[in-house]
Amino acid sequence: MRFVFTIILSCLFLLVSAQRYTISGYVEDESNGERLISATVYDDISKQGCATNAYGFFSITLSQPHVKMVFSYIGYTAEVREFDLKQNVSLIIKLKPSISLQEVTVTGEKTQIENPQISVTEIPVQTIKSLPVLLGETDLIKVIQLLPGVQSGSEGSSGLYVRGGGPDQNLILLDGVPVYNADHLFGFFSVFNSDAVQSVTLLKGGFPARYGGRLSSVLDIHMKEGNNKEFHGEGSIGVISSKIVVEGPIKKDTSSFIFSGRRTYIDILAQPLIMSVSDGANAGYYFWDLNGKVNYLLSKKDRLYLSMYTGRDKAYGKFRENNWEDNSSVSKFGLGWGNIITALRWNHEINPRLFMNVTGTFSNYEFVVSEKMESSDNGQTSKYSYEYTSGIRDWSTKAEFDFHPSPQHKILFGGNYTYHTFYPGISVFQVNSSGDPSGNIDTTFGDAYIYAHDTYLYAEDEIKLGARTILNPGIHYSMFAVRNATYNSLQPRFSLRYLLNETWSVKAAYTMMSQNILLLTNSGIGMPTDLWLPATDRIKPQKSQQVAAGVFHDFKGGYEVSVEGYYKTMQNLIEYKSGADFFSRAETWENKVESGEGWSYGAEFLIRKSKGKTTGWIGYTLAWTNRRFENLNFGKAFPYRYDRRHDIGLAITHKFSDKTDIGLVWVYGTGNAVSLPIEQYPSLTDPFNQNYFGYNSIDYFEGKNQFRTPSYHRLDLGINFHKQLKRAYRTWSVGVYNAYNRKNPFFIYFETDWDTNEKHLKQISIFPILPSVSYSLKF
Amino acid sequence: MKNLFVILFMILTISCEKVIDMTIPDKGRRPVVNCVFGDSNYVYMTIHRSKHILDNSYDFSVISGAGIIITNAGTNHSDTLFETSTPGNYKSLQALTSPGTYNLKVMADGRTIESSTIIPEKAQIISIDTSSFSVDNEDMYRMDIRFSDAGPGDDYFMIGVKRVSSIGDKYNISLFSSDLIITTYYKDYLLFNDDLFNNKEKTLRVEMQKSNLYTEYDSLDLTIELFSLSYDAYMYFATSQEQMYAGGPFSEPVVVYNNINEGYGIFAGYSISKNIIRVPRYDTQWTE
Repeated sequence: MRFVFTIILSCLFLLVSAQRYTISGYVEDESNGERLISATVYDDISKQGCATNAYGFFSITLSQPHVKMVFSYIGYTAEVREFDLKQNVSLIIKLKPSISLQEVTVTGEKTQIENPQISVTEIPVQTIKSLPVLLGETDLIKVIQLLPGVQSGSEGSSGLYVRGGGPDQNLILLDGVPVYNADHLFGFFSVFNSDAVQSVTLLKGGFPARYGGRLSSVLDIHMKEGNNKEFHGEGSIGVISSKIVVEGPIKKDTSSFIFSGRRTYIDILAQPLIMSVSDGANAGYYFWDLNGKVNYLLSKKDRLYLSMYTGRDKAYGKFRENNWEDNSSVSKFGLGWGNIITALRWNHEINPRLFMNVTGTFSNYEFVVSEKMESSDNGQTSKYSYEYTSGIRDWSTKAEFDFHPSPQHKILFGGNYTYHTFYPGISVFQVNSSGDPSGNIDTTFGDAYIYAHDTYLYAEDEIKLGARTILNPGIHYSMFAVRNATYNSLQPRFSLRYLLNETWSVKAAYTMMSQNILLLTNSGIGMPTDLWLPATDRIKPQKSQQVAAGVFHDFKGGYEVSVEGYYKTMQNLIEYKSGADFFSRAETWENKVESGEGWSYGAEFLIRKSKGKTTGWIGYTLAWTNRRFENLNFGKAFPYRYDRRHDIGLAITHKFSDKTDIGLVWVYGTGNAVSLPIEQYPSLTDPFNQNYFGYNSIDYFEGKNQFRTPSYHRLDLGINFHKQLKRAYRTWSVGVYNAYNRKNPFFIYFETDWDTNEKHLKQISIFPILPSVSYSLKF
Repeated sequence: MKNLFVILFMILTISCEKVIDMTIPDKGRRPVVNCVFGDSNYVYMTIHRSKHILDNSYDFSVISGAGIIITNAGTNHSDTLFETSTPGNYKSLQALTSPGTYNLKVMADGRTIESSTIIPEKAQIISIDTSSFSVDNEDMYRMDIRFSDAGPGDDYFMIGVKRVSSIGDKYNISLFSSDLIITTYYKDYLLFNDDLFNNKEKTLRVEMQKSNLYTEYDSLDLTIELFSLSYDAYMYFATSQEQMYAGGPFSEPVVVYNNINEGYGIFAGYSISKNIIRVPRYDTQWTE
């Protein structure tokens, strides 16, 4: 008994003598009230630190009686607070944007060698706006494609192919909500308006447990919250589109809004030309998108957000024929697709060590192909219409918790439930004739709706073991229930960072991922006809395992160098069977696909400079990626279409002064893998008619993707001229895409030159040298 | 509509084409066998020589004097094919009527090439019901064809409707069907398999325009042909049709089914079940 009493007293003594208090709160931009993500919070006395989460919240528990807290964020002047720590402290830190162009070493600012996460890149929004891009349309996904390990697919497309994965294997999050189709204009531009974006982070491997549902990458995009102090706006006019952003307080320091919109005007400009060449027909294409966000500070511990994104692409045409008196017809066709995403979010600080975020979301992606015809003949009218619709709709709710029990532990845990509705292909066919009602038809057919319940839970702990080592073990559990099948998946995650010294670190990670939703794509470019479909009782979820390791070094002058290697395996990948037609009603989609496997490996080299007048990076990737399907290429392994052996991305911006800055992009990639026939042979035109000897010519393919297109390279240049006007800040941006007019291959084919009767291999290129100019105004 | 897509694409992009220098390997010419044979006809076969993909000559050269033997794997009975008066064309002396496996050996151009296929068991047409209807002022003719699957294994089928023209030649009538079992079309035939009705009876509904039934006479005989195809025949018809109509630079290339070892082409068997129905004369002739 005495022994037990002694132990208890000893514990109480230790508890009192090592009493710890928590410093928590938020880090904001002083000028507009925007909360800063991943800002560094560091105690210069204990040498302990942390970072703000996605909502600007931080929490650090310390035991010493006196602290000197340094709050810093790149592009801002650091704030230092020194005080005695005798109780829990809640702070709202407001950082001032830095006007200094000189390199500033900020104590405690986290560099890439210190970041415990491997295979992650954060892209400053200013970089996205400074780099020259296609037709002057700033596009964050085009900038992401310049990073090592990320490829763009076809010329001009906004698809992401990360470490050998397909475009459906990227979890694209907009304020935490998955986006299913992030393309405008058949993949040439993304749906994200850079003017409304606050932060962009790409993870290519070492995925923490809180992420799941996709195999190859996470692109985490956060929208701005809106200036809660003053009204501001920004508008720009470019070659392809115009956009506007308006933000301001609803109630100063308490509530704010931000709205942004964008629309093209290609259809308006092209309409006179189209009407003149097509005998009065009307046709065009346009896209638009809208972003909106409202937030309200309910109390010091509670904040509400309501955000929305909606956008649409539409290609259309209308023809009229007047054959003769009393006989005419009107035909219309349309191809449209779009997203709508809404989210209601509640942040709550349960206590100084525990932060909670609860989100409810709705999203819908849909594409529609339609054709209508109305004809009249001697007073009788006939109407015909056909409409094909496909899409995916989600209702979702999630709860996320950040728990900071001590400086050595940062525990994240939470869960999500999503109710999916897939409509893979519904056709509505209607015929209505006033002259013969007996022939009227009104029928709906196609693949039935598929409903699925998608749940995941996760837990991870960022553990600091001494000054050099950080471990991040985690577990992600998912359960996917659809029709008669339930798929459970336990996905371990582990990452490690070891500081060799102040300027060197090594990192490694292992992740297992599972993907219950897959994308069927039937063409080599991003098309809205790509179908999002669930794993079912016949089609299993896709899975991957990835190991990655790297060495990281910081040089003086703000240079970061990294070398990373990875190896990834993928199972249950799907492809269309040869000759499958996505419009065909003859088979359900499950009968049109093959299942197979893939694997990829490579090394990525990156040199990056983030400070000073000149910033940017150069990245090089050496990679292999292959696939194998039982019924494709006779069951033999073949290179993935985007198996590019060498890939180089160079992106540089230089600020001459506050009035002028330039940007340069140069990319190089080994050609895509393509299938080309090597031989041709005859087949009988009519095998049942033995008296007819006509024949067709059949192309023989020795293997799939056995050839390479010519390599791709391109130089883009841009210059921005800024000027402070009386009440606004204006910028002229002049750029040139493909400055040396490289004819890069878009696709290749065989063609006969009828003059010489010789057959050649030809390539089609798009986008020669393209100048662009845009004008923007900030007020 | 297609022109407008082209115009739109041109407005949105500026295209440029050029010849590129890429080495396409030349692995030499190989014999090409084309032989699709049924249970009620002689076996006809053509043998040609393949061409390199960049060879732009118009014709494929024929191979004369080839030695061709087809052996019934069950009975071990062999048939030799003889060259007809048309070089490169070969014919058997008798029809191969028995269901079963047939092996092919061809000696041509200094090579021996082999293949194997089956003549499947015949599926029987049980009944055919007909009716007429109109769609959008178009008179249509409907047939409900009832037949039985050949057995519990994987079976493949093709169906067509034939008529005789006014000048006496036979041709197929274009068919339509919304039945989910139809996988694809081959010329004017419908291809399907028994995934959805394995080892059961099936009623297949097909439709055609009545204008195809025009005749000068009081009635017209239609021959309904139900083919039971070997897997080789089914895959060849489906993939050769698909490659022929594969559209655009963005679609995946279609590999045509080829079961000739050390060569190219097709060696495939089928059996056929025919029914003839007589339909009344239709007055309006189809005009283009």
